[in-house]
Amino acid sequence: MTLIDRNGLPVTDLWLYQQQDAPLVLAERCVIRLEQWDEYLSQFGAPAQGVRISGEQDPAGVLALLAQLEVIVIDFAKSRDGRGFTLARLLRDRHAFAGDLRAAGPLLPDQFSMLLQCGFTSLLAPATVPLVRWQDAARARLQAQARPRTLLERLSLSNEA
Amino acid sequence: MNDCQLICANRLDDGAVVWLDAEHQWVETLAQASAFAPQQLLAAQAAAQRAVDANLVVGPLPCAARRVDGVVEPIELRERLRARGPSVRTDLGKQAARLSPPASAAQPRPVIAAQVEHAGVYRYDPFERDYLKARAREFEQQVARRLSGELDEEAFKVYRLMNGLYLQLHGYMLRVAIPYGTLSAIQLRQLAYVASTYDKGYGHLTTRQNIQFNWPHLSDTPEILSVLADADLHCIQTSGNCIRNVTTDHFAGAAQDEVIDPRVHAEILRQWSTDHPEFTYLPRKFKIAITGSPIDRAAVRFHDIGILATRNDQGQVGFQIYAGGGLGRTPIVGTLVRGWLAERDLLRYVEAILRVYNSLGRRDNLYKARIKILVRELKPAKFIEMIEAEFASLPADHQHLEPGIVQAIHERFVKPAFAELPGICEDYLNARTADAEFAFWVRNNTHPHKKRGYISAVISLKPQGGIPGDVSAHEMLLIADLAEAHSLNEIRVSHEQNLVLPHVRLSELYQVWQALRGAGLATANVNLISDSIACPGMDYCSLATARSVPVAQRIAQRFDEAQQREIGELKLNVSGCINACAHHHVAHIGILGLDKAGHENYQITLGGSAAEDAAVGTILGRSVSYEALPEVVEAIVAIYLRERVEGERFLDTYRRVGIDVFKEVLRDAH
Repeated sequence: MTLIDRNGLPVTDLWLYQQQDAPLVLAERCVIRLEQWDEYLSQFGAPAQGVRISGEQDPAGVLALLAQLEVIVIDFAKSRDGRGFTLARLLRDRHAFAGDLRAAGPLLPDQFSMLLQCGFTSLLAPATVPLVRWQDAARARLQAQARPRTLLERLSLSNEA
Repeated sequence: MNDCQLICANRLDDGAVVWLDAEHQWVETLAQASAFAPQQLLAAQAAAQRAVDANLVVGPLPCAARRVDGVVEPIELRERLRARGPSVRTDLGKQAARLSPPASAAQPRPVIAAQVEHAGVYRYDPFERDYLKARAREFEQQVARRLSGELDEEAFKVYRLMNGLYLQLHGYMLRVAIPYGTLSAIQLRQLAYVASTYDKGYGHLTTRQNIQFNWPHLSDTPEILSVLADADLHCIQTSGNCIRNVTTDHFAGAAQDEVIDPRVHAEILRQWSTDHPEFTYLPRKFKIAITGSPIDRAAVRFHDIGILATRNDQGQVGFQIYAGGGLGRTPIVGTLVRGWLAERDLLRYVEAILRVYNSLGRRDNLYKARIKILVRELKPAKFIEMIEAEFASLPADHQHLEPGIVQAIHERFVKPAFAELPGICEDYLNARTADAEFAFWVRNNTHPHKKRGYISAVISLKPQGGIPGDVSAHEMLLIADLAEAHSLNEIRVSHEQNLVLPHVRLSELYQVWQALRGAGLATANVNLISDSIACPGMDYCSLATARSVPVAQRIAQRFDEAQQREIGELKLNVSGCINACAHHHVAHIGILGLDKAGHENYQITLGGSAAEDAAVGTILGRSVSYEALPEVVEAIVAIYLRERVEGERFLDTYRRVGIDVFKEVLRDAH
């Protein structure tokens, strides 16, 4: 898996993604499952800075932790399972999460723009997709952004601005 | 040797049906195909899989076959239809291989559309056409990646469906969106061009006011999308688990009974939902309908979201919102979730409904994934509470539909240049008096117009022996000409699979009718028993369990024009499977095609209604055979005629006397 930033470019990934069933490892930048939160805290006396949740999970459990988190990884079970989009919107818009929202799972480059629009800021790219596709997608997104596509979008933007 | 198997697939680039021969090569006719004995099957399947891996074919499957007089024939009807072509169009498919010369690709494109700044009745932003052209180019790359093998079928399917391209029995099918059923003459000509250049000279109108082409090649589809974009047409979101084409009243903007022209809000919803970042990967497809008349011609109570636009006592625009309606396996009348929603909250409220659905809708079972099941499982009161809570939590500055926005979108619609005309037209009245056939057509096929001196005319696409909803390229061109000359350039598609000339001057109606009659397009049967909605059924569709078109045809043949007139309004719809694309549940007489031990069987429901008195039909009893069905329908109608009292429609009589009276028709049927 390669970490892709919001420009579609591969970047060095400094995070350790804790395996689900393996013993917990202490790391400076560590992403654990939400269920492992208490265990990690009691084992190492410090909280993890990253949490991993799946699209179908009720975000309630993660809300209390938002202020402590630098990264939330949202797992998409399938590319066609769109719950992660709504979850990201909720975390960003309603709960004002300001850290890095990272998408993971069998996602498609054609979904990159939608991920960004829903508030994701990075992505763990599946090995099946040539990396250059994410750059292409980011470029297409920039072009699209420069010109709001519909009248509704243009008028709504000027209203909200 | 009866225990043998054919291996049948679709060729990747053109979708053609192919079989594996004894040398493990793909051949185009059944006569060349090999029937594999059980001991040969594994090797043949391995060869088929190699062809899949080499990106030559898609979806090879063994199908049971038998030898009849030395000729191999598939056992299942579906596979026999694949080997021949549609039973209702013997001039198409394999059965016609020697008949039809290939369509000439050298035909020049019509020059009109591409040079017109605004092709549609709604005038797009210039950006919008650029976007459609860009989408076509993007799809071109995706097709290239598929053909080169970078994408396998599983990965490509997502893109294919997002662009309205299906793979069906005889090949690819492309579904073009006709937002809120509104077309300009230019757009209809462009569709005619696509039909004659890339397809087999016709299109099929659907209950979602879309048009389908049944024979495009995969390799041509990016170009088709580009040609459509030249006329501001597209295939976006005509498939997949996203918000589909928003449908409305086919008399929108014209009907005398209309309070609000619903197309303005339909267009707003279209713009809002296209490529929506959050709601493009929903648990299942999502259908929205809107109407602006108290008379519901858009079946809004049978949609995931149904919207009734109206005005309050102060004259303000607002909406009644229904949610969780639908047909298919589990037909449910929608729940009224909001009695009054202010106009500025429309998008916010729809967003709230979709967010609840996207979070909680079932993804574990395809058949339970629609919002109607969520509403049922949560119970309507809880569902409403959740939508309202979500609605209340939306950011305060987010997506309000301010009057200025509505006004700006409204202004983008080309205003029909109505003339000030007298309400009475002598020539028209005289023609009605003098020509009984014209008078009868007027009574059935027209609707009163909001503008004095005008009338809306329905062009029935259900002639005797015809295929409901099919329209040839030639007919499209003729109708486009009529629209230009007599309907202020506008055409509508109805969800009943007919076309409408919405703005015809009374003084020109007789002339229009004569032109239609000359082209065989003046069948005076709107809302009569032969005005059936029929899905393509097993003649085209890979989901179907039985044929539907020939069933509608055979029933229609039982009733001549005088009898149909005598029977009056009677909606009879025929679906070829439980997905209910032909809305059989909400027909007065609904027919559902089933497979019963390899034979086509048909279940009958009575008493459905898609209108404001929405109801799901009740099953009459056991299903009947293809052969017996027309007679059974005839017997049902005879009981109605016997039981009805003055002025009652079939539906009224049914509601008064109940279903038991009709059950006798099944007693002797086989």
